[in-house]
Amino acid sequence: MKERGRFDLFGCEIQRELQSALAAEGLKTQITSRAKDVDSLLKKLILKPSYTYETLGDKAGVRVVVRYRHEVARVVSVIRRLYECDEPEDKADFMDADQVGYLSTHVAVWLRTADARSHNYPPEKFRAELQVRTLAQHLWSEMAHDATYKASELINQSLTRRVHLMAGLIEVADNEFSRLDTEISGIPGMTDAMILKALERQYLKLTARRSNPELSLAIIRRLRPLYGSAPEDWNMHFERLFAEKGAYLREVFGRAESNGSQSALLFQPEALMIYDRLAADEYRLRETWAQEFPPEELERLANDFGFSFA
Amino acid sequence: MNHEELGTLNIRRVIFHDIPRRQKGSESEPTLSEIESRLDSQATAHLHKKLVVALGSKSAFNIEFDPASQSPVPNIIRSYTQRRHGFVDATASFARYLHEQQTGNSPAGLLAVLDCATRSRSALAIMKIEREEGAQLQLENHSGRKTFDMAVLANLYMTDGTKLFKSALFVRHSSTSDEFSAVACDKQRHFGDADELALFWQRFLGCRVTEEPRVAIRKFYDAAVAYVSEVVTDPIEKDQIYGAMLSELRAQKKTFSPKAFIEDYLPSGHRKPFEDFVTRTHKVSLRQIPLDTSEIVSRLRRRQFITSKGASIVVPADQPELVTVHENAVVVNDSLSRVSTK
Repeated sequence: MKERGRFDLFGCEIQRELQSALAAEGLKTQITSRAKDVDSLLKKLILKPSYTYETLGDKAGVRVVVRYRHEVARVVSVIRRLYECDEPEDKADFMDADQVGYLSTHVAVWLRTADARSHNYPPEKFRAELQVRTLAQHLWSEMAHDATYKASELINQSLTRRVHLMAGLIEVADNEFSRLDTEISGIPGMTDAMILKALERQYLKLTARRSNPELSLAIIRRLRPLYGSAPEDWNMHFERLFAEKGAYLREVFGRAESNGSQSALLFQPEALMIYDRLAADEYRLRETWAQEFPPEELERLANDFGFSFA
Repeated sequence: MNHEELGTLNIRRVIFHDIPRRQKGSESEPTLSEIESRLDSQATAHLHKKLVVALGSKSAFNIEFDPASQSPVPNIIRSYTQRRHGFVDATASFARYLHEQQTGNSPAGLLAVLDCATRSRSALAIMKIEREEGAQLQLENHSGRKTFDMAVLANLYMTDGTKLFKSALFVRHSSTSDEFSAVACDKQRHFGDADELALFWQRFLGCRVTEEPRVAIRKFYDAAVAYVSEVVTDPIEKDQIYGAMLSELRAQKKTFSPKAFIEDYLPSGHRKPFEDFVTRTHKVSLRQIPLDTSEIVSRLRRRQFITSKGASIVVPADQPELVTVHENAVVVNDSLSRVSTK
């Protein structure tokens, strides 16, 4: 029990590392960590008498919440790359086809012995349970948790059924959001949304700050013609931009994160598109921009990137 | 100095010294801070913007240390960027030297010196900021040492309207070599002017313009002529660009800005291709250049032939072969690109 603080630190370490690794993958996630509290561990030991305190695996917990179902697999693959782990456990695999309920992917992880941090957190002792789930799954889990999940025996069947019916609805919604996300990207008229997605993938490598998608789409719509014959694959285009200029962009965003920026546009994904055009053809960008947006806003952003219009 | 170096410029420390106007018959001394001013994120972002706007502008010049200079500034910059000189001492030396060099015509101002880094390289920026005559700035006491309070400075001198008179940035390439990238800008004077006031900032910095202006102008002219001949196909556009360039280079101006020329005279479809052609193919900088046309003066001249019946032929003075004059005929040895009626 005295070691709770160290498990807390271990969880934070995993959380910090995952945050940066998942951002580098362009994934928008919410990550939290905690060491299991003493009460919770005691209750678990009472329920599972075959375990001892030493053999309980998940004294630290890290939760990763993603937007879409198809992103869960990407998170798991990053986890496998970073840590030693058990075989991930998808709760859906434990349900019959006619059952609905708690869905999440759990995986126990520990540091590799070659990892320098394993001196502080020996793998045989420091293990964390990672839970990966979608926002919708998280919503259901949070709402249903206290009422049913841990004490289902105490609630009458009709109430439990109502809670599980909602899990079914949530699963349908989750599948639908995932499908919509994939299908929207494929619709020819949705190029702007596709560009925004491609930009977000790189933007999230630079910052976790929230942006205004309505503004993003308006700017993308105005600037897209500057690309002439559009790149066949917008993802690849901005991936390449990041591969070439990632170090510089990280410094610009890092400076703005710590020292502030005078531009309202830097913390918007389309700032990368604007940078791309500034470097490629500043003159046409300025002409096109001025047709719809205030030139001084473009100038402020340009200054952040080291360009002067004076 | 490119946009990446300016964009990644990270301001670490700043100090301000007050430089009063020197007046005949009265002794004046700079008011020196004893410690750096405390930087907050707003002031840092503001200072960064001021530097980018000035030093990335069309009026900025690439400069280098002048070995013949008597100014102590280059050596202080060299030793400071190798951490062999304290920040406060180094900047106080700048302030004293600047004050010594100023004449009665130099306005009062605040000297700001910024310790910076760009892409892991050590850098130092020097700025002279407008200060209203008569405005009294008070040093504040911070733990027994005096400095200008950043909050007061921010209210008075860190506004969008504040003028940045003069600025310069020196970036040390590595701690082992003596190589620097440097750029400077003087909003009060044309940097390349020959008169004393215009040379003031260069002299204070102990620097000179990196490339001989006559060479830089010739290189730009050659690159522009090559672009017009090799890339521009429309005869009207050829004529417009060439004509505009001749007019700009023959104008009674003290400086020439390639960037301003591109913005003002090139059709929009040619701006970026022209910029790429002159910078990448011909390695010409777009920084402002003192307008010295001595190497191309004959190519800028025009010779005019006027016939007895009023016909007029104008040709570049350095291409006499274009016109052959016979007793009763004048032959132009060229093909027709267009006819205009006036």
